[in-house]
Amino acid sequence: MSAPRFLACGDAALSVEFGDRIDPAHSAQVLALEGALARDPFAGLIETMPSFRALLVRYEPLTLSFAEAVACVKARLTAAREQGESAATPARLWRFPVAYGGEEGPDLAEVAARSGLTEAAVVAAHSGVAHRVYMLGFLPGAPFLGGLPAQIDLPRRAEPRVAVPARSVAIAVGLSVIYPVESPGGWNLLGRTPARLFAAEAEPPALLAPGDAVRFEPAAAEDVARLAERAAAGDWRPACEPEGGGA
Amino acid sequence: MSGSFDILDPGLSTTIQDLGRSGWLSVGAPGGGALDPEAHRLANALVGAAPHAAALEIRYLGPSLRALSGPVRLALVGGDVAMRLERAEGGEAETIGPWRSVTLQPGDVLRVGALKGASTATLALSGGVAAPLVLGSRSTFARGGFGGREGRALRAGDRIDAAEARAASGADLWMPPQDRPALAPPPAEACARIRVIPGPQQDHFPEEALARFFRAEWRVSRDADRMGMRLTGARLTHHPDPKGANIVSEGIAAGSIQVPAAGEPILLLADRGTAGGYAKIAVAASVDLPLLGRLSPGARLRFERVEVETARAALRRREAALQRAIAAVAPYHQPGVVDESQLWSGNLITAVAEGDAGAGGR
Repeated sequence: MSAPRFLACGDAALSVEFGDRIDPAHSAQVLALEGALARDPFAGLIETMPSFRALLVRYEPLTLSFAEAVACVKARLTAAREQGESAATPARLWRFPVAYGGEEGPDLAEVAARSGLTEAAVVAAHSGVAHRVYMLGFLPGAPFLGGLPAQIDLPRRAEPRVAVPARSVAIAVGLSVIYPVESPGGWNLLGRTPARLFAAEAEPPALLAPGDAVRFEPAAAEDVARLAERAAAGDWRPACEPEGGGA
Repeated sequence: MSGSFDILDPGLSTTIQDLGRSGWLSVGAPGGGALDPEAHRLANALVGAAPHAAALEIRYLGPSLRALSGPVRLALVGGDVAMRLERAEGGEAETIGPWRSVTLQPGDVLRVGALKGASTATLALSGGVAAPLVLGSRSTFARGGFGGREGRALRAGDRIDAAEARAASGADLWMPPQDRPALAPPPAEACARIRVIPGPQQDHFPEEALARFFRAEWRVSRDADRMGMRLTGARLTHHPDPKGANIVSEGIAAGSIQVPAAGEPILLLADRGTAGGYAKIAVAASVDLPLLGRLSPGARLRFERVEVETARAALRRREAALQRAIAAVAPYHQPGVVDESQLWSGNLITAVAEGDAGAGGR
């Protein structure tokens, strides 16, 4: 395991970079360091944010210099390394129903054509694997999921959409994402899920957490619409193992 | 009796903000909060509210409001704006400037006009603006649809209540002119100096691009809001992949300056997306974030490279100056009118005495 890089992000944050690519091993290191800092925070630490291969560490610049903040983080790397192995195994496995194709997934036909597959084969590929939640971000509760099968790996759309509907499941650049709310977006839309990904008043506010895994299961559009109403009302959420979601 | 008012005209984009939220970047919620936290703290000091109390953030064009129950004490800081106060009892409208509080009685109407010299101002309310705490803050986050008033900008007819039911009492407050920190950006023809620290992907840019970044005079484009601002003025090149424009998406600190493949920088502010996949050439120093929050489209700026420790020292000095300004808040007295009892009861007399003792010292 090579030593991480410590990069200044202004005078109030630093990035601990464990590698330069999307890799479950780097993600495990990131999450292990996040855990170590949560268990043993240093004076002046504000918050951390995990991403694929780096942990952003925000600190109070009136309290700590960059060098002091780096030293505080380094002191927790050993504890993080001891945790590293367990962080590599998914904390929870979620099952998300998805209405593939049709109005819910307007790019399914194009993805199939560009991949040289039938629509059914694209659905089988996307729903046939567990996707790892590497990070949440851009919008509240929005997961970036790895593990997209290579045969359906496409770039982003040339022309981004002005409005992608909430709960759309989309793929591009080797990843899957789910849009928690309506938003502009350039990813290829495969379908829609009923899961409500973020509720500011809920505890915790985000349904998913980095380190979780998600399996997508083909479902009828009517069932997805019905479940989405229940999810919005707060009386349905996707199935999860272990039940209750002890992370 | 607690103060309340209703919005007659919301202005261009008036939102409830406090000093923002922390601890939720990891779920995708940015810090948000006042674009100009200095104006926010100073305005709150002028109405006797806590620094982090929620207030109204005004962008470009201010609201008109009418006191419903009162008294309602308000103060505006940020830019140069003349407000009109129309008393319910009639008479000629008064002109009220920034840097002082004003106390409204039920039925009085205050009209805040267009901001001059800055894009952003804070209108603070005695007792703070009431709004539910969402993820630890009362700040409006419009893209997420939460915080403030239902996650949106204020509309005509919205009623605003004070968070603390405490009637404004005593004299109005002001900040004497000599104690006011400089908030306004340089005039339109001049150039703002923004201190930056080279970014986490500085090695994605050839020397020539870095030199151009620091040499160019940039302009804030029309594409500027609470998320951030696109800059125009030059195009920056990247190294070939894998040290190019695109990186593996990662967390983004406030003030980050990212450069997509097209080459024009985007400076990210309070309501930014929390993750992004473009190379960041530099990150603005914390001390200059409030100034960035005040810039309007068309404003000119230049980036000055500083070390992290230089940026911290500047932040400490700025913080001390703000504390001094807040400590200088004093009972308001109209220019030309001397109220001797207030001079003796306040600490003004001390200031005058010190001024005499140190004649020629300032």
